Parts: sequence; structure tokens; C-alpha cells
Amino acid sequence: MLKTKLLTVIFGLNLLLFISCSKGSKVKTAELSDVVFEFEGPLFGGTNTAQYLYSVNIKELLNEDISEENAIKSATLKSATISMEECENCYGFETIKSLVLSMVSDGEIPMKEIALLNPVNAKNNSQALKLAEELEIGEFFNTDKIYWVLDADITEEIDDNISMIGNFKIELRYD
Amino acid sequence: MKKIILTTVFSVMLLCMTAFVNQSNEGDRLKGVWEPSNGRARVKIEKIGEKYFGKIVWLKEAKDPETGNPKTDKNNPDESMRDVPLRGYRMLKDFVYKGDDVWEEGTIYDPLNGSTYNCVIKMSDPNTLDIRGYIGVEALGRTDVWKRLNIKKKKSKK
Repeated sequence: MLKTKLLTVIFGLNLLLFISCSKGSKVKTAELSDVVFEFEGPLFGGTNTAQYLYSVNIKELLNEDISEENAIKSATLKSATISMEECENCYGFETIKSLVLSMVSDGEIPMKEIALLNPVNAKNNSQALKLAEELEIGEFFNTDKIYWVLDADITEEIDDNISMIGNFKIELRYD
Repeated sequence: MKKIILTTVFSVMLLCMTAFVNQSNEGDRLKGVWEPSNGRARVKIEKIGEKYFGKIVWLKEAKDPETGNPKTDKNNPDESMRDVPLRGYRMLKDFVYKGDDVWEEGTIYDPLNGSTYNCVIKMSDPNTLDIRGYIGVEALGRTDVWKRLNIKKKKSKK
């Protein structure tokens, strides 16, 4: 009898917790476009790194007037594409073997690899990266700045700069 | 009187800023290419934001003997990331300079077993690092000695 009551109370509390957590939570897919990764030459054969500093602006990202701190409850990357800057003498993806995308913060959040492509399809000018499965990135959006880091494995030494452009779709859950 | 107070406040602020910049620059001594004691890899340490990271730039055995293809991170606990090439893999992550030639709060990844350990880096001299990996308690860890490789810069072709 007591056991049944106890189970009912636990179930009730869980239900209450679930309702209170889920109530008011909104979901929006935000797009970060034209993220420019400048690989400054000379580039050596192997993995070269470029970083893009993104100053987090939740109001702009969600297009909503949010003043609450730590407003983002969770976030997941929904797509990540990387393309080469298009111009007459620009390099194409034939010079790149693989791409790895990571996120870094200055705070306590550890670096996270979030997407990769190995091998790259040399014929395409836009590469859709494969997303990592363990992909909770919400805590990054409650910080002031995020470093988006792109590692490109380059086939040979290039005495030049290479620019790549990232477009990312992020699903954000917030109150 | 007001002038003296303002000058004092300004001087203290300047002193603090100088100390902060100096400490930040001191940490940059970690940057460079380093070789672990087994000589099987070379790791380049770079700075991203305020933290230091080390990626594998050279492997003695770069190819997987079974497939003949370049080695990938096949032991990664996240199956979706097992195609990440090992050459270029960041095995040192998130180190913060704490002063006195010590970098802490980072992790070291062992691609041989896919395990990540807490790690402390101490620079015993400008060309030697004591890299201590541990789980839980630092005293129970293991230290490896890494040596700096002095890479000569190529002259640009002009």
C-alpha cells in the first residue's frame, strides 16, 4: 500500500517536473551564414587551421527581444556546409582532402568537434559536412563569444591564402 | 587631491593590464612543434582564443597497415567521428596558462585506445615539456617528456 502511494507520489512529481520544464520552451532554427574562414598562407601540406570569432547575439540570432541570461536551454547543429570563395583564380576543393569543424569557448566549456567530411568531394564547390552524433552545443550560446574552428587537410604546400565560407543551421531551444 | 587619486587609480589599472598582457604572452611560449618521448608523432601547439591546443602534424606510421589508407581516429567513442584523420587530430585541448610555466585545465587524448585524460603541462626548460596525464588525482598520473622541434622557416620564393 505504502509502496503504491510512494510510486504515485514519485510519478506525480516527475510529471510536474516534466510539465514545468517543457512549459514555455520554444524552438527556433537560426542560420549563421557567410562565416568566413581565412587560411593564411603559406599553407603546408597537411592540416591547416582557420578560426572565425563569433560574438554571440541571441536577440539577433532568434530575432526576439530576449534579456534573460543563459536563455538557451539546448542547441543542436542541423547542417553545416563549407564552400570555396568563388573567383577566377581561386582554389577549389581538389586541394583539400578533409574538413573538420569544431567549436571553442574561452570559458570552461571544452572544445567540441561537431562535423567532418573525409574525403571531400573535389567536384563540388559546396561540401555538406557529416554531423557528429553527440551534438549538444547549447552551452556555447550562453557565452559571449564562440570560435568556430575549421581544419582543412591540404594536399600540398600552397604559397597563398585560401578563403572558405561556412553556413550553419542551428536549432535552439529557449524560454 | 582628486588629481592624485585619479593618477593612482590610472597607474594601478595600467599595472594590472600590463601584468595581464605579460602573463598572456608568457603562455604563448608553449606554441610550437613538439615530439613525445616515443618519437612516433609530432604535435603542433597553437592558441585559439585564450586557450592552447595541440594537433598531430606528423606520424611515423601515417598509414593504417590493414587498409593502406591514412590512419583515422578509429577508436573514437563517438562512432560518427571515426573518419577524422589522425594527422591533424587535436590530442591536446583547452589548456589555460596559470603562470610559472604551467598550463592546466586541459585534456590529452590517446588515439591508441580512444581515452581522454586530464592533463597538466609544465615547461621545465624552453625546449622541454613534462606532460602529465591522469584520471582523477594528478599524483596517480603518468608523465611523458616532450622535446621542442626547431622548424626552420623556408625562404619565400620571389
